[in-house]
Amino acid sequence: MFVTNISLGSVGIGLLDTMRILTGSEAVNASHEYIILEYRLPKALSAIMVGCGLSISGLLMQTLFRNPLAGPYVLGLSSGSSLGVALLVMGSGLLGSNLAVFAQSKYAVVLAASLGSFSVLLLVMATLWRVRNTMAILIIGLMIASFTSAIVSVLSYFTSAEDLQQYVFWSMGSLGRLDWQDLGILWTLLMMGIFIFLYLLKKLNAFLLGEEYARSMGVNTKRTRFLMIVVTGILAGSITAFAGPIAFIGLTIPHLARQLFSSGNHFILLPAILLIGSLVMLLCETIAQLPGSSFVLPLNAVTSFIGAPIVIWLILKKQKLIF
Amino acid sequence: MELKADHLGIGYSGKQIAFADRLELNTGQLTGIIGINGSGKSTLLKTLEGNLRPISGEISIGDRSIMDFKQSELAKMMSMVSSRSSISSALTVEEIIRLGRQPYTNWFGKLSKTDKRIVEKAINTLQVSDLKLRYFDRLSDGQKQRVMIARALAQDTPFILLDEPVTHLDMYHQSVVFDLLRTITRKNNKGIIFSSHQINVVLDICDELIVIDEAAIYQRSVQHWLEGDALKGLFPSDHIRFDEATRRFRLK
Repeated sequence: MFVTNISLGSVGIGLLDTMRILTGSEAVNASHEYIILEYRLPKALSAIMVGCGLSISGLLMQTLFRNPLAGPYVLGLSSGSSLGVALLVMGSGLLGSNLAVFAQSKYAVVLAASLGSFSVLLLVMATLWRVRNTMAILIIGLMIASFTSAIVSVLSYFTSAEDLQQYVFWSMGSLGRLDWQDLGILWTLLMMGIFIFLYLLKKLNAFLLGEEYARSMGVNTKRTRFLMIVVTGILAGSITAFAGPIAFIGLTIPHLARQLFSSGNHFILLPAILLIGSLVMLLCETIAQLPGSSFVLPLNAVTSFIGAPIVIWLILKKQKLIF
Repeated sequence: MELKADHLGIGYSGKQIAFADRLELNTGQLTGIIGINGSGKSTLLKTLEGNLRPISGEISIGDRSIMDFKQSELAKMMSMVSSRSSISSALTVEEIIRLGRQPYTNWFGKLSKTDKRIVEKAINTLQVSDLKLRYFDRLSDGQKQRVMIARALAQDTPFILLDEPVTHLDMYHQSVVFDLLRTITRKNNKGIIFSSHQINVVLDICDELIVIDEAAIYQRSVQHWLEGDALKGLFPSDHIRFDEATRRFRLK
């Protein structure tokens, strides 16, 4: 899947040639080597990391809220990022030319998206101190999401067509923006997320009986809940910052893993979601490239096209969703 | 070992709903909690479990305040069976019962030989070995209750607290559960505390009885309750009366 993804694109490069370039042996075609190493390889790697990161966040939120509709974005994180980017892209147009130039740079967008999701995360954490009820946090997250998207729609009403277009492109999601340095950052954050997930593994299984039971089995539920939200915030937040909002992956992959392995045991689910998440994300990315053509589909749309029917299919096939 | 409470005020968000001067629960004793709906039975259980802060007073196990216990230490003292929790349908019966060993296992949750033996014993005691590989949500209510009691037993704590363990069960399965509670109390020397609306059965099988009546919590031995007049006033007298000859509450 990995190699197939790399070999396909607007310029088709044979599987064999791709393998040769990846393994570092004599290149057949210098421009192919450049395309693969500087463009397609980072994109395939980021597909894997994005797939893994979103799946982990999604699983954590589903376990925390004990709700099959929870995903990495239930806390309102992607809306926060969207608001950050919208403010930057559309707001800077109103503020003057200096800022507008800055707004065009890639890091400004990443920064704005990170700030956006991070401030939503802080807001959610602040409410965590006040309310003990998990369901309340879920509702607050949804309300924050509606609130921020309302601001975005007001902004887009007053903005110029050009700026609006830039925002819309960001919101379509793309892995093409990540270079090797970004990958390094994402890799570090992903490893940190997986590490904390490993630390939480046993406690997550206790959560499957509900928070009361988890506490009675010796789990410090307050700290565990805190860590789950921090990991989700960092992973989903950084991914959205780099690649834009990517729908359905975080929601679908944990369900797919649960049904395929007929288990909710996190010791089984962790390797399962990492594998399935990578594969599905590579598949979506390959489809988005529309191999052989020079068009590229919005990644966010492709993941929805694939994700939504999968969820419906799972429910129809199994009659009773294992959750 | 003793689970004690002194001058215990229970309630939510600073509002007291009932008060107990003194409660004293021992291992090897079966204790029932009765009281009308909304009297605070669940609140009392949650407070004793350490899941809810007392409004006032102190709870201690073996002369050590439960506030001084770490969550992981408390989990080796008390286990619980809740009636409201939504349990994942993606776990098998065996996985659920094994979760009971969590307070004793390492971060990876690996079960030692001892852990496995205790799990096996709990499975046999509750006679759920033929359900081991079934998914929890495919079980009947009676089976579910037995599985959750097996999980609590696997946690191997001196005290087990159950919130209305027979609520959704028919008469036969109620008697199965009550019988199990009595047996486990005696054989495994557990201190079992449960709330129930089945007052007549509670009077038959329990050693101690906690009654919550008009915001006051009293604990006496069952014998003591039966000898006095206290039970007569438990319900408004227009529909139910206590018949002393048969030691039963009856409809008028």
